[in-house]
Amino acid sequence: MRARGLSILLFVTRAALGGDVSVTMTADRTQASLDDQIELQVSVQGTRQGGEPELLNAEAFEVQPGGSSSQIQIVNGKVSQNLNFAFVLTPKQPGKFRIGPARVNVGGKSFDSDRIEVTVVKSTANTAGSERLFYVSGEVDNNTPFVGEQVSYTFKFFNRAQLANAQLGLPEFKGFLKEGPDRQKEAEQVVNGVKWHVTELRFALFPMSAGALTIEPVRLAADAILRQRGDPLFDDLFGGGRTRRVTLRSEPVTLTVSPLPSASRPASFTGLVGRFTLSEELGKQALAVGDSSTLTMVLEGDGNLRDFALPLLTSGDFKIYDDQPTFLLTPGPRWKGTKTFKRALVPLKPGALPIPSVELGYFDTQSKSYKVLESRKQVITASGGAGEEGLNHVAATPGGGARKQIEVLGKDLMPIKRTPAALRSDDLRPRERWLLLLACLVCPGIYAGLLFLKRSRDRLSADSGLARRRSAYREFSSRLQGIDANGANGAFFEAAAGLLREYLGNKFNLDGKAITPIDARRKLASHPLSADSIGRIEAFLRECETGQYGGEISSEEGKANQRRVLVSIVSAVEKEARG
Amino acid sequence: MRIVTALLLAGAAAFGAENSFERLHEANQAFDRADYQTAVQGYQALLAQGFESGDLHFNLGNAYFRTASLGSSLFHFRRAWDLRPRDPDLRFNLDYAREKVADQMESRDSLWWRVLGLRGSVSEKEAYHALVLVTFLLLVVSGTALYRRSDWLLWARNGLIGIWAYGAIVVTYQTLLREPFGVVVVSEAKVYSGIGKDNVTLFTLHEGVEFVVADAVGGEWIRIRLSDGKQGWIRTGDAVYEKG
Repeated sequence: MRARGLSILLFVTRAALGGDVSVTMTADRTQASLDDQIELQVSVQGTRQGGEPELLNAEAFEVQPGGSSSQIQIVNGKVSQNLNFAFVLTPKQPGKFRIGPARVNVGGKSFDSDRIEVTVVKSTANTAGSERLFYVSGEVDNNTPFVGEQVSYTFKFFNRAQLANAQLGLPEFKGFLKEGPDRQKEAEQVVNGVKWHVTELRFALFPMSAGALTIEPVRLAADAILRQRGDPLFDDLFGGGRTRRVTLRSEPVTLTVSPLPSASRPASFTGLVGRFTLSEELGKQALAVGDSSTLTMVLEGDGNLRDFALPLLTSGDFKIYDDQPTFLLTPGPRWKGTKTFKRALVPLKPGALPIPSVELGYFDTQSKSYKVLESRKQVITASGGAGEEGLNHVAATPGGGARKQIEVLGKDLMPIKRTPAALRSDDLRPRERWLLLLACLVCPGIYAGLLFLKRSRDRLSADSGLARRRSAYREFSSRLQGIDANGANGAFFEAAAGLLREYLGNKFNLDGKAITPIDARRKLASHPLSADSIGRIEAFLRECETGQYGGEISSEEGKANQRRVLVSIVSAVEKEARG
Repeated sequence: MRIVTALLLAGAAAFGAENSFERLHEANQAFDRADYQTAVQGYQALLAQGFESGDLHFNLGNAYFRTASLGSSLFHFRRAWDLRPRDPDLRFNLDYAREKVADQMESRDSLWWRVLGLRGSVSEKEAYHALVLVTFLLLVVSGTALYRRSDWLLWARNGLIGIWAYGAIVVTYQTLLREPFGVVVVSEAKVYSGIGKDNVTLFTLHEGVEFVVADAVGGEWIRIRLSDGKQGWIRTGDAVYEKG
C-alpha cells in the first residue's frame, strides 16, 4: 500500500512538472451547416493540473465552453489521470477550416493537440429537410421600402424535435421604430416534403432614415432533446434521449430604404407614410351656447400612428378642447394602427357654426405619391343660453367677469408610466438596509477613535509628567543600545548609572540626576515600587559608583552582567508601576 | 474559464434585462389596447421577478382600476406611494381611487406620520440613504471641530445632530414600528370579533377600505385595525395585505 501511495505521489509530482502529458482533441462531426453546432472534446492525459485549453484557429466559430471534468484511475497499480474540456462551436460562415491545435499549459510548458478539419456548408431548406432537426429564418415582406413605410419582419423557427429552456435574443433593430412582436403563432408546415413544426413571430418595423439598413440576426438558444437511435418504444416510454444546447441565428436582412420625394409634398404632410383612412363622428349637432358636443375622429392605417398628433384647430365660433387620444395596434400580415381623437366643441355664439375641417397629408406607398385626407365639413347649430356640459374636460365657465373660474367637469386616472425606470427598484432590500445601518454605526466608532486620540494628545501636552512617564521606557531602550560593554570601565558604569537615574526620573517625574544610592530609598518610597526593587536600585547604583571610582577593573563579562541587571531592574519597575 | 463564465453570466443578465423591458413594453401595449387583464398579468410577472418599483405598482394599480378591481388597485397605489411618495400623478390616482370607496374613513395616516409630517416626503430607501449621508457629514464636521475651534462648525454639528435624530426616528419607525397595511378586495367583507364565522359580526366593510394588519396568525384570518380605531378579524381571502 505504501508503495502504491508513493507511486501516486511520484506520478502526481511528475505530472505537475509536465512530464508524460498529451493532449487530444475530438469533434462529434466534421461536416456541419451554419445552423449546427459542433461539440469538441479536449482531453489532457497525464495531469490534473492544467488550465483551460486555448483553442487556436477557431475565429470562424463562436466558441462556448461546455464544462470540464477530471478523473484519476488506478488499474493494477498503474495510475492514470486526465482532464476533459468540452467546447460548443457555432459556425459563423461556410467554408473549410482547420480548427486547432488546442493548447494547454502545464507547469510552464505548452502542449498541443492535433488539428481537426471541419467543413461548414450553408444552411438551406433543402439540407434542412434531409438532415437537420432545427433551423430559423428571418424575412421581410419588402426589401425596398420608403422612409417611414411599414416593413413586416417575420421570424420563423422550424423544428422537428423537442426543445427546452428556449431563450430568444432579439436584435436592437437599429434605425427602425419597432412594434411587436405579436403573439407567437404555431403551425405545421411542409417544406420539400418534410413536415416541420413552425413557430412564427412578427414585427412591424418603420425605417427612420434612407440608405442601407440591416436587421441583425435573431438568436434562439435552447436545449434540444435528441432521441437516441435505440428502441423507439423504450424511448417513448422512458423518455430516452440526450440534450444538446443549440444556438440558431437567422440571416441578417439588409433593406434599401428610399427617401420620400420632396416634389409635390403637401403643406399638411407631417410624416405619415402608408395607406390611411379618416372618419369622423359628431355627437350633438344642435345644442345651446356653452354646451358641448364631441367630435370623434378616427385615423386608421398601416403607418406609424403611435406618435402622430392631429393639427390644432382654431375657430372664433368654438372653444375647442382636445382629449387624450387613444391608440390601438392590430397585428396581422400588415400591422394596422387606429388612433382615436376626441375634441369637445363648445359654441360661443348662436347660429349655424361650421366646424373647421382637418387636412392630413400623407405619402401613399401604393401609388408612390402624396395624398391629402380631409375631414367632412359639418355644421353645429347653436341656440342661445348656456346648458349643462357633460364632457370629461376642464373648461372655462362662461361668466360675466373678466376672469373665469376653471370648473372641473370630470376626472380620470393619470396615465401609466412608460419609462424604463419602471424597472428600477425603489425598495430597500434587507441586506442593503443592514449595510446602511452598519454604515451609521461605523461613523460613531470612527468619531470615538478620533476623540480618544485627541484627548490623549491633549493630556500629554498638558501634563509634562505624564509625557515623561510615557516616554521613559522608550528612551531607556534607545539609549541602552549606546552603552558599550567593551568600552572603558569608568565610562561604562557612569553611563549605566546615568541611564538608570534618567529612567527613574522620567518614570516618577523626579530629578533623576539627583538620585544617589544614599537617598534612593527615600525618594522612591512614595512611588509604587516594592522594597526589593528599591533595594536592587540602591545596590546597582552603589556598584556603579564602585566601578566608576573604585579603581577595580571589571571584565567584559562583568559589565555585560551589569547591563543585564540594569534591564531586569527596569523591567521590574515597569511591571510594578503598571500594576 | 472564469472570464468566459463571467461573460456568459453578464450576457445572461443583459438578456434577462432585455426580456424584462420587452415584457414591460408588452404590458403597456396591452394596457393601451384596453386588454387590462393581460396588462395586470404582465406587471405582476415583473413584480414577481423582483422589480419592486413605484412605477410598476402605479401601472398595476391603474390596470386593476380599469378592471373594476378597486381594492387591488388601491393596494398597489399604496405600495407605490410607499416607494415614490412625492409623485403627484400617484397622489392624484390614490386620492381618486379613494373617492370611489363606499366606506370613507376620517384619517388614514398613523399618528407617527402626522407628528413627523413625513407622509408624502420620503420613502424608506430615501430615509436610510439620507441618514447615512447625515451621519457621514456629522462625522466629518465633528471630527473637524475636534481640531479646529470654530463657532460655525459647532452650529453645523448641533444642526446635524438634530437632523440625525429626526432621521433616526424615521428610520426606526420604518424598520421597527411600521405596521403592514391591507385593503379589502371583495364587495362586502364581514369583520368578526374573533377567528371564525361563529363569532359576533362587528361591522361590514366594502371594497377599497384600507386597514392596518394588527395580527396575522397565519391561516385564513387576520386581525385588522381601521384608522378610526375599529378592530376585528377578517378572512384573508377578502383582502390583500402586506406580508410581515
